[in-house]
Amino acid sequence: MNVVGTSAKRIDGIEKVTGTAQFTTDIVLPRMIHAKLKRSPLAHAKILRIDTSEAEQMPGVRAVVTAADLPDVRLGILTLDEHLLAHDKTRLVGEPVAAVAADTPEIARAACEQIEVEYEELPSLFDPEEAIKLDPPVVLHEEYEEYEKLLELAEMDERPPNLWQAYRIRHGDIDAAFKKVEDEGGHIIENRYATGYVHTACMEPHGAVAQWSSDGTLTLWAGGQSPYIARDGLAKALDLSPSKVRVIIPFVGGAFGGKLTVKEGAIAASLARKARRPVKIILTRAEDLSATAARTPFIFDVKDAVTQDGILIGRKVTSILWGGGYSGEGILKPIFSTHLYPGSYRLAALWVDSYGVYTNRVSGGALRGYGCAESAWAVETQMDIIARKCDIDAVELRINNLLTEGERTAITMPAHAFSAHECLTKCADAIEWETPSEPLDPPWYRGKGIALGNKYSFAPTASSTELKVHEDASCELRTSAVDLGQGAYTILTQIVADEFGIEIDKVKLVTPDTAITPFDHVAGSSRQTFHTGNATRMACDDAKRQIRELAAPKLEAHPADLEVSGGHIFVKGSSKSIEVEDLFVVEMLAGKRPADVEILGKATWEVSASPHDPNTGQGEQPMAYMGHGAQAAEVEVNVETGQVRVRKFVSAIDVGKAMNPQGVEMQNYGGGCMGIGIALHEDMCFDTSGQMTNASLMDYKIPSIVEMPLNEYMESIIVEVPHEHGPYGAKGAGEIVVVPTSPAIGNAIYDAIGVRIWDQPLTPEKVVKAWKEKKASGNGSES
Amino acid sequence: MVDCHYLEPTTVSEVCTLLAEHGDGAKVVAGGQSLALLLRNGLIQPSHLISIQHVTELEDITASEEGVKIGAKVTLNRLIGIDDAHPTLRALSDAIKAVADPQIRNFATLGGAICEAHPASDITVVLISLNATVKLASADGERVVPMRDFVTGAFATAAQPGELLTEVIVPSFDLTVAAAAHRRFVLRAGDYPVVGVGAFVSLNGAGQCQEARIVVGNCSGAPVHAQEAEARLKRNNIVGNNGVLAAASELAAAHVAPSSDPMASNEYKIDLVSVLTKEALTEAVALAIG
Repeated sequence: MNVVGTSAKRIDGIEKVTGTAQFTTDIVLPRMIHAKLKRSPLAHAKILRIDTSEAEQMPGVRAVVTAADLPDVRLGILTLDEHLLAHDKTRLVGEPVAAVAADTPEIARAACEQIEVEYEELPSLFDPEEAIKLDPPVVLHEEYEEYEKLLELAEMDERPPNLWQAYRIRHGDIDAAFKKVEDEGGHIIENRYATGYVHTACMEPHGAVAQWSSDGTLTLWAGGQSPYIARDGLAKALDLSPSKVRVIIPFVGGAFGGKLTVKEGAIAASLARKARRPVKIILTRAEDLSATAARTPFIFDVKDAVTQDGILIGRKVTSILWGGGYSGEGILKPIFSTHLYPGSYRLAALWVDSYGVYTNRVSGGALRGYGCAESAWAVETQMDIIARKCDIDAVELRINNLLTEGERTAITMPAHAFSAHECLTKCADAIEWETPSEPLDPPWYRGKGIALGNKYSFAPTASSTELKVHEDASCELRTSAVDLGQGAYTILTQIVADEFGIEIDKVKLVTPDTAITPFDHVAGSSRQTFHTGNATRMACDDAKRQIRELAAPKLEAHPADLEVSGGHIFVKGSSKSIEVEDLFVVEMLAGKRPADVEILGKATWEVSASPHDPNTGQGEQPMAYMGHGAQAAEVEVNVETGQVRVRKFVSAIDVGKAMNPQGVEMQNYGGGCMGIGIALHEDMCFDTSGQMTNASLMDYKIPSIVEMPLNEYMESIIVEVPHEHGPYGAKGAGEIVVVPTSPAIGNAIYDAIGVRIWDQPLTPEKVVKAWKEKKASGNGSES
Repeated sequence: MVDCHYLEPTTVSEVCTLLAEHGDGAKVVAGGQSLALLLRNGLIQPSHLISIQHVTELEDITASEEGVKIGAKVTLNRLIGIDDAHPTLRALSDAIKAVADPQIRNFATLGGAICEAHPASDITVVLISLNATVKLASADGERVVPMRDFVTGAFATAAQPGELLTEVIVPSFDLTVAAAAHRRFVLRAGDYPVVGVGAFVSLNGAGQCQEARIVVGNCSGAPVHAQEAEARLKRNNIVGNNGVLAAASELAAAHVAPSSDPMASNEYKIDLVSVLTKEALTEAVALAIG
């Protein structure tokens, strides 16, 4: 039975298209009430007084909570800097300061309006370059030094008071690299890049349902990416033992990194405890867009030393992640973004200073690519500029600089299953790289661009699974892996079917529920196929071992000589066999039970990693694996209106082994669409007081299908270079698909009209402005 | 949730009676595509919603010498391709094709779109360029108001409390010498445009411009007539004369004073006015000469 590697139908497909799939918002419990949040209208203010008395008196209001009702603990991923409800200060517009639970959402909202909060407004800080100063105009966290921190920052003489992350890479002799190109007539290429404010804007907004049982156990249903991260966060926020918290993840309507924690769930839980009723909270679209973590901007200053013949020998980068009021889930982005500075390239010298700072804007979080998609924008635009400067074809230049299998990158990651070359050349062939675009009549121009990308999957990490075998030879996989839409449940089902040689419909999944399913780290960092896939295979092996041991006496054979497949146990090399059912005995009144104990396979797959020195970025193996991909775009640009149409788009990604080729194709298409949105359209806008001004899907421009290339011009290429540790050789596909998109499109715009736009998104207005500047200066050459 | 009375009259006169009865607090709902957004955002808080869902007399499209009369309740989707039967509505049909999406256009009505008076409405821009008028009915009788006077500002119209928009009249013109065209620029398909431009020209036998109307949307609360630009065209030969069309387009751009919004700066909007006016005029001239 070869189920792995086929485009098996999604096991959640019918439920989802017929509307029977249960999402958090579908959960209705007896006596359930509804929560709304009272949010800060100010970006930076002291809270002097909160008066909830009028709200509490309103008919239908069941509970009101403020920070005073909660344990005085700060929360966070690695720097614990944030209270569940604003404690003494608010540090961004939209920060929750109180919450109400009432019989209806409308009453709860009306009651929030009756809560009086007296603020003392403080000066706000929105500029990251001001924020990073040693003597900034505003300090957001006066007590930063006292916060609990689970990570070490790079050493510095004096920490700028708004800094929450500092990481350095010191590899090779950077001064020698720049001196060499100066002496020998190479190129020094220096540019500044910026990315924009992007939101995950999932179809399903953030939400949760909380219920307490009489023994003091909290059950929380939430669309999250990790039941265990959620469980531990809830326990910490509410001062509970983790064993007193049960988290169940129903279907999730998209996450993309935005649902790592369940803050709203913890607030709902505190209301539920006070009201002694189940509480549901579902954020409105405006709240979701303006007050949940976003992909906040990076600023990159990149300076490259390139020999005359186009070999990159030294790179210096300074970057700042424009954080918000709290370090949030973006805490590791200043580190992970640095992985792309060497990326797939050999770099003799690399010198990086990467920072994250607090400002009074929305907090930074994860969004598909976790810093890598952002740094790719800088690095892969830079590669295009280098190619043009050296007058070498952009594909050839990249190939000339690639690592080879077995080499280590400048961040000491072993280059294994190194497929950059194959991704790049297949992508170039598909876009007909050698053939220039057919010209159009002005004001339209066409051009092509290409970019390479990587995505590393973090470590240390672990996934556990359990596999129960039933008397009808069907298998039940218990996993805390979350299907966010990426297809994890289908792939895990395929693995079990494959390992047991049974039909897919004989595999059942028990989905994330911390009371039942074992630990799995998170549905993030493109890790589910790789890690949970491995754990699932191992649990299958364990269950099959138990079956062989139970069957051996019956078959009068040694367990090692038995094989389990298709519901049978065979003696290898003979016709003797029994059925799995034969391992069960009839028990009066109870049907069948296993002859011995439950057939329950279990396994844990772990990948360790050496911690990297934050002062040098050097260590042993920093990550679980390294993914590769290349994308190319052909664009049409109208220089009068600035409109950019992506005419053709090719995405070639290496997944090691396509477990479900159609699933990989969907990642390529979906990722391409999301990447095009990030490159050209999506932009959270803020006014001078820090308020988001386009917090609706009418104004936050997620592109529609009309903005996408036509079907036949959207091409998915699957590259399969097996990874020695991947299940069946597989690597993840979820994030790499958005990493090269922006630079591929930006490079195509340059090819079309000879202008660079340095800051995302590349909007029509910026295109027109850049084109006018080029006309005014009379030349389009770049340095 | 909206807490108000919901009424369902079946004739125009019943609607007018109800409007007179409930005064300022009454709002008419047809397809609800604009009204529901206003309600949700709390911009209107009516005491009575008067649905005209069952007022079938507002669903006709009829032609006479005077022009084409379109009932206020005609849905936008019905107007797509209407130029096959009523060729003077070509620009309107074209503009409506780009409005929102098919689901919305199946519910949204022409009258509703006009009465919302959205500053960026393509429909309003085209109707003004076509010199259309609207008929308003009330308990006191009927009156006809030119579209250019009907929209008085952002989300504001000349309709008085008690009045119901019943009909849009697009006057006839000689298709052998006159035409209208519309151009818009959107950041995403189906959105309200950053800028929209409607142009109408008519020619005499010598290729000179007799009549010209250039109407710009989303550069002010209400659509703007670019009068200097219109004057630049009149009595000039505009057939094959790119220079004069370009000059008029520049004048249209100089005439508007948009304000920046999160989606576009005023400078960019002015650039677009020039580009789109030129395109709309070029198409209108090409159509007028057949």
